[in-house]
Amino acid sequence: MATGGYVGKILRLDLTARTSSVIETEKYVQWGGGHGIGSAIFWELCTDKTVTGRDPKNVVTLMTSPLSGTMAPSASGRVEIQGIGTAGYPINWFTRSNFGGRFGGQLKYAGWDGIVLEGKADSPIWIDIINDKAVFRDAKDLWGKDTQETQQLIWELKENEEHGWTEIGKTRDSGRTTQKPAVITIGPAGENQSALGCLVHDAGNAAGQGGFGAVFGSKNLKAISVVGTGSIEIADPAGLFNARIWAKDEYAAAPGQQVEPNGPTFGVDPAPVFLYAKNPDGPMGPQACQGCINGCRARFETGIANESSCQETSMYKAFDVLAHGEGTDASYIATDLVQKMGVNSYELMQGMGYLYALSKMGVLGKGLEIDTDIDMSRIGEADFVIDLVDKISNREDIGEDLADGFVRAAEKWGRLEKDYAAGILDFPYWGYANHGYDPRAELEWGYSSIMGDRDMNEHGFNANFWSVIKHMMAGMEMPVSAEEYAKITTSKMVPYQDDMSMVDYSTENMYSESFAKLVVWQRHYTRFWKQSALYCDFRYPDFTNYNREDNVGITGDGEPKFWNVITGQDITFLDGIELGRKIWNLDNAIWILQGRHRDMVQFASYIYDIPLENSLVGPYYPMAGKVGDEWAYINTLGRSIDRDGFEEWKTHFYNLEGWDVASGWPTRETLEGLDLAFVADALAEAEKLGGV
Amino acid sequence: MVDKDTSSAGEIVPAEKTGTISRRQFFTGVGGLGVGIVLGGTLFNGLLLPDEVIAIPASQGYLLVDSKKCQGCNTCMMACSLTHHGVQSLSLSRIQVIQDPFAKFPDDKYIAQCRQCADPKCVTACPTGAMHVDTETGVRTVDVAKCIGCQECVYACEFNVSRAGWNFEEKHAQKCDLCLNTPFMDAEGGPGGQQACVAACPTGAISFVSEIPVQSDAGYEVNLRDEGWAALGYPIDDEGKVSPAEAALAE
Amino acid sequence: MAEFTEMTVEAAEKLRAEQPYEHRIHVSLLGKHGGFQPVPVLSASDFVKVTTGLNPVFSAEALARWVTERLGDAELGEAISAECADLALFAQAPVACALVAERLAQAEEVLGIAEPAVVEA
Repeated sequence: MATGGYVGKILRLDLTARTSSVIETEKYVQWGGGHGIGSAIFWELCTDKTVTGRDPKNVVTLMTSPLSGTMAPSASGRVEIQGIGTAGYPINWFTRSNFGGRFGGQLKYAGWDGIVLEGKADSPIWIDIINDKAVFRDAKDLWGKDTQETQQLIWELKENEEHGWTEIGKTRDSGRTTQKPAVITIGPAGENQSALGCLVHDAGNAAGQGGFGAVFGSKNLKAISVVGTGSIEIADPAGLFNARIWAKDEYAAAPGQQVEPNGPTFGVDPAPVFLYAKNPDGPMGPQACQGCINGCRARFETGIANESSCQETSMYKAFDVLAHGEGTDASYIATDLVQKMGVNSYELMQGMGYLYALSKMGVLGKGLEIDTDIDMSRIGEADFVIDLVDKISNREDIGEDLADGFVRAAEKWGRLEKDYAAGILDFPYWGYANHGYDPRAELEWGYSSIMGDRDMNEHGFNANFWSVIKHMMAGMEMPVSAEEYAKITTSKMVPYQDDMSMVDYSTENMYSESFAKLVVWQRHYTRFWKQSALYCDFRYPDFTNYNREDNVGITGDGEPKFWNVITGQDITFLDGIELGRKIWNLDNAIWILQGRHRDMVQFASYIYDIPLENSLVGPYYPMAGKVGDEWAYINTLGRSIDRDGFEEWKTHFYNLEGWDVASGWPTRETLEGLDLAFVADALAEAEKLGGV
Repeated sequence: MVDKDTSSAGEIVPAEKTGTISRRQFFTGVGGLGVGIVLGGTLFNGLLLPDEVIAIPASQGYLLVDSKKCQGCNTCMMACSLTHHGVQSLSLSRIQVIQDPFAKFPDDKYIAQCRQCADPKCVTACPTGAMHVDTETGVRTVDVAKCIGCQECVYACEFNVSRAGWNFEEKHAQKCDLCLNTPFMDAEGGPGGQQACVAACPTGAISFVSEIPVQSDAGYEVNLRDEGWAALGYPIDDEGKVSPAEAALAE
Repeated sequence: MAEFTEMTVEAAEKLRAEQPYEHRIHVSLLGKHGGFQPVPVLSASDFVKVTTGLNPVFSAEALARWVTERLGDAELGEAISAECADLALFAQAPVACALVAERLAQAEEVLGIAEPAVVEA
């Protein structure tokens, strides 16, 4: 069995007993890495899958892939975290999140492919991993500290320098490094088990969704630190180096190259992705996760909100502008704050919109129906967001109501159905905040999210939306027509490559089998290539790449190339997608044991009842689609999802997956075809096997 | 684009211009680490001290880094360990990028690459001649067979992060050899060939030059940022203190 | 510069009134990489605030309708429709902003509230 890329051991930590043991990675190599291995381990070790996220019986995995810590471009830096979350509504689904930076590489260099967390410590601890040793340390001096202070305190402990190199262990040959420990930590929100708490690594890498901050807090786990001085074997080292240069020369933006605007894909330049109303324009330098082909963030002369980009920079934008008529420092302070305090900026962003609505409606405020000491008139100012985050972190005032997320808060306040119906509680799927790529316009985003367990956060088809918008803003013509986009994109979507209608976003096509194929393909592709092999969502899939004369991106060729040259395996792009299908089936089995059934797979009511008239980019939401027989970038605003149409679409989806159409449960035939007979047995025992 | 600032060359003159320089002249302007010397020029072939008979040939190649252009992705470090040792490791890399995520740009990154010193203390410190100057290329590198593991070279490096490293897996000293010996890189390495880190760096923050660069205690830096880089929103002045927006206002 | 007719006190008050939340309109702030949260606008002054110096996108049609139906100013609504009709999406904000600001200044003058927001040409 090819073993390149893997380091052979998974660290299993019993937080209750404060002991560690080793799981041989070999046992799970068939699941690939990342999510696949995490789901497989969770399946085995979490015996009661109906427990809630804060239950000590919850099993959490942090998993790398064979590509982590290697030169695989934009596939080296990410870590997949899984377990039962605290965010999902109405069920704390078994969920996933993911963070970048350098933690995954350090874990691999330490000799670990991943970490498993079980049980609950009887007092606050942090885990100190130095190569093959994992020590449980008392976190009393870290508890209560923000994510920056925590990391800095841990780094101070490690200073044992010999001429700039820190020696590990006592002998000349025990290993040395110049690198600071890589730490993942919660802030006060997680410590107090607020579902709005998240995990933060370095200045701006966060696993935000799913409420894993509260999960860590429920286990009395403050942080995990890792120092690794070892090395990762590579099956074909020269081949890997060549492949990296190939990717750089053939697909990447050259330094200082003026690239054609595109969504987040492989060929973009390393300008930081800022979404502030007024972007920082002082001196700054680029910053990227380990191994990235071209990074997406920066560090600043001010040192404020270092490594923050994209969503967390837009979090406070609307209210900053409403208060001041322009973007101000309040936005930078807000972004910096959520990184330091470890609070989910997506929840907070849409959540603040909800709180604003309630305050304008005379429902939320001092002495009002929902009583709060927070001065809602200060929304948009720095002091407002500091006050709100403080209350969330400490579960005070409305922070206590918000401790299970905004949707459950609405439920507590007796307003859930009515605020959903009014469209002011913009959380369309499973209690997760609207990503902005509304289900009514960008169909695959909503469908993928609702067929899963969370806001999917997969930009593969969204990238083209951004490409069109950016060209519109610049007054430039798109380098690919809608038809060309459809052709290039669908040609890569094996095994469905002959059906261009998969990316037809027209209303006529929105409930079709073709459109179900799109989502089926996406679930399988992302489950393996992105969430297990850990190719970064901000660079892959790369369908259209404008650095190329033919505009054809690296996806399909790039993903298996790096996988094989590192592991020594010989898998195809389709093999990976098939493995993704297997992992997806396992995940669904877990959800079914948690209580999932077709009937509960429904969006919030406003998605059906209120047509979307306005998007995050105004009165226009362009996606590829057909008008009659012609392809065009069509405006997908002005519609909602039809309930019956959605049921038709779900039936197509279940048929394509080989699942029972009435329940949405996989059949024995499908499961056995994937070597998942043991899953079929477990579902049968629970009387939840499809088609029985 | 190499910054050839010779304004502070002052009293120090390369040997072949005036004959020889005294040892005292050589050490004029000593900074904390003893390398307060600014060298430069295209005809510098080696260091010749009047009261020493040992002539140390200059390296035929040097790595210059622009830490302000570096994105901190560690790809150079991974390229180095991969091409030299066939594995991925940061500890085995002969170029080290040290970062503080919370620090203020441009002080958030420090890049420690070997300077192929004109007067290589690591070579002088080696008792066995394992650390030596390659006669053909001038590259300062380790003859692994002769290394006895005393680590004198590691201690002797004059910089705050030793550029001579201890390979604790293979048990010998090692340092940047400009890819002279890279069994896992297909292309020819060494000063006449390719350097893995230069080839791999996504932002083009490392350059290879054949002439000994201007340097001082303060740094061994170069400004590799051009107008295209400024168009991304990053400062292109040497100090990294003037953003493109500020530069535009000033005009 | 539009030629607006005189405003009554009632009309001026109606124009300036903050709308109930359910009658908000949205404008979206975009940058090089986009943006996520549309800004909920509840009043004419809010609209002027978020369009002065910024260049958000919005539906001119929806704005005209909102101004006519909610702010009760059919004249302003018509002016917006007329002047924005042929403009590209990304060119509308300054025009609409100027129109609303001018009318708002007129309203404030009628009510004796503040100095005009827009200097007369």
